Amino acid sequence: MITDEQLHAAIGNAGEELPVPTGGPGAILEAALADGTSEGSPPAGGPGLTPRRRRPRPRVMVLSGGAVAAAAVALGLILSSSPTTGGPGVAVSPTVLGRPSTGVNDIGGAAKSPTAAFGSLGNASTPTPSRPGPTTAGKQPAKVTSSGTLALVIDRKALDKDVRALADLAASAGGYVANTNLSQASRTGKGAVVLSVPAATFQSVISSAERLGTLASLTTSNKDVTSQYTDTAAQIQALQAVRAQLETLLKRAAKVSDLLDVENQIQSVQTQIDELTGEQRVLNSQITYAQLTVNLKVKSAPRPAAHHKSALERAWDSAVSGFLGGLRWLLSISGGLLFAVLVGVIVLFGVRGFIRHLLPRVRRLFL
Amino acid sequence: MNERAMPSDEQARAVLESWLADWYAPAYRTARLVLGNHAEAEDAVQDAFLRLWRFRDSIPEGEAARAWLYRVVVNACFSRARTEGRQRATQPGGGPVGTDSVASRAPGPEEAAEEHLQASVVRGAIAALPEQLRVPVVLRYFSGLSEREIGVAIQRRPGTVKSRLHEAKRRLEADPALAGIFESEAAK
Repeated sequence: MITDEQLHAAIGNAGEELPVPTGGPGAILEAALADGTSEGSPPAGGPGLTPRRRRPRPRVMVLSGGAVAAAAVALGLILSSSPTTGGPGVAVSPTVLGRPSTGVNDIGGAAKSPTAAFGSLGNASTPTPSRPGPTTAGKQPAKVTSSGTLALVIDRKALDKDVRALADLAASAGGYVANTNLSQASRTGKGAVVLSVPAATFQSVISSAERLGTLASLTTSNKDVTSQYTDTAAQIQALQAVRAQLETLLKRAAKVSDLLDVENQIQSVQTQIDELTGEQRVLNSQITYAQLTVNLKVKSAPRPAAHHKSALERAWDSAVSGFLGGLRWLLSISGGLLFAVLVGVIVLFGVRGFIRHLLPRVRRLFL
Repeated sequence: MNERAMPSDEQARAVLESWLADWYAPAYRTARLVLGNHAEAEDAVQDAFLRLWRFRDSIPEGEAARAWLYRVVVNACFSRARTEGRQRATQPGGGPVGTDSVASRAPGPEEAAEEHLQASVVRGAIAALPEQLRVPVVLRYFSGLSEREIGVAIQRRPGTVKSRLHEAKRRLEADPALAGIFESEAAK
């Protein structure tokens, strides 16, 4: 059990041991002083402390509301765009996130857009956000994921060879073996190999794999994920635009509280971007690579034909069986019998000892 | 930390110098323990101090200033980690270091080597914690913040801080290398 004191000491030592860079404070000093008097600094006061100004909460609300509104507007635009016509990389109206709209005014009770919230702080140009919109680059090819299951019956001796052949097949097609399950193959005669192969080679791989054994069944399925793909890409792009907008706000933030609020918003947006990017990566992988599950079943050996016995053989079998049955009965009762004999002997010796030694003493006692 | 901006450059410089003298080292070491990397920690602390300087008028007075400072440092660490990419592996014991040395407190080379090894193991154990547990642990056991102050720094409720510290402690106890250090310390 580690105590708090131990942790204080250990982590304290671990931290104190770290050398502090000597140039750090100097660099900060130069940068800070070069930056001049900061925003939010009090007007000419004395060298002493100045009373702390109360942070204006409405500004924070405007900021938060603006950031949320920006996200809402951007995502609303995605939803309103057609998935089949919308696509990433399309520039749109430069005032999408900056203009006051019903949504912006309603969220957070702020009548200003996020840009307007900091409008008084400077005239820096707002980066032009982009959002998904109608594409002019023509219709994009459909995004399709393919998968299939192939059941093959093979010879027991050919199991290893066929598994190797499947691996070679995947490799030659530019794919790989995603999973192999042959642990119970020797006992159950069943195994499975999952191949991930480039979608373009999917059909040819199926045809080649079929030749490794007897085809028992084959199912394939194709799923059009174009809309899902487009939606994801559009959401990522819109969120990136929101993030860019928030980063602009970050540069204009006048107070630490505003800064931290915007940073929180950025972090939240970044998390969404990361999640969607991961989703898109998975989708891309599924589109690029088709998955073929090859179920292998070993051919069962033929059963020997039933042998018909003659009457004499059956009588002999019956006699042997009866004899063995008798022996089995004897053996089974021998245990109980032996126990009964043992108990009888002990009782006999007990009675005999009583009669010989104790009975005369009892008689002498009473007579 | 509570001194305000002054009219002259020299006075402003004096205020900032006093801040840096008081807070740069603990802030840097905190960032270093959180990020596990010298360069990123140095950048994060620089960002944090520049932000503090820029918004010095908003810094609360009294005891709350310390939690505020660490809040800005922790946020700068998060920002740095985000911009540099979270995929980068942390380097708890290694990486380039500054030119300062604090090894003079160690009486002999053997003991110094042992202490260094132990400190590396401790930093490794901290670095192995997920970020949400690592930050409260560093703030509690290195920076010495109370649970309430940590709550301010990481913008979570004290109850959340408490449960994170508990979980972090449980994980640290399960670290065999760290347990070995504490056992050998107890044996001494």
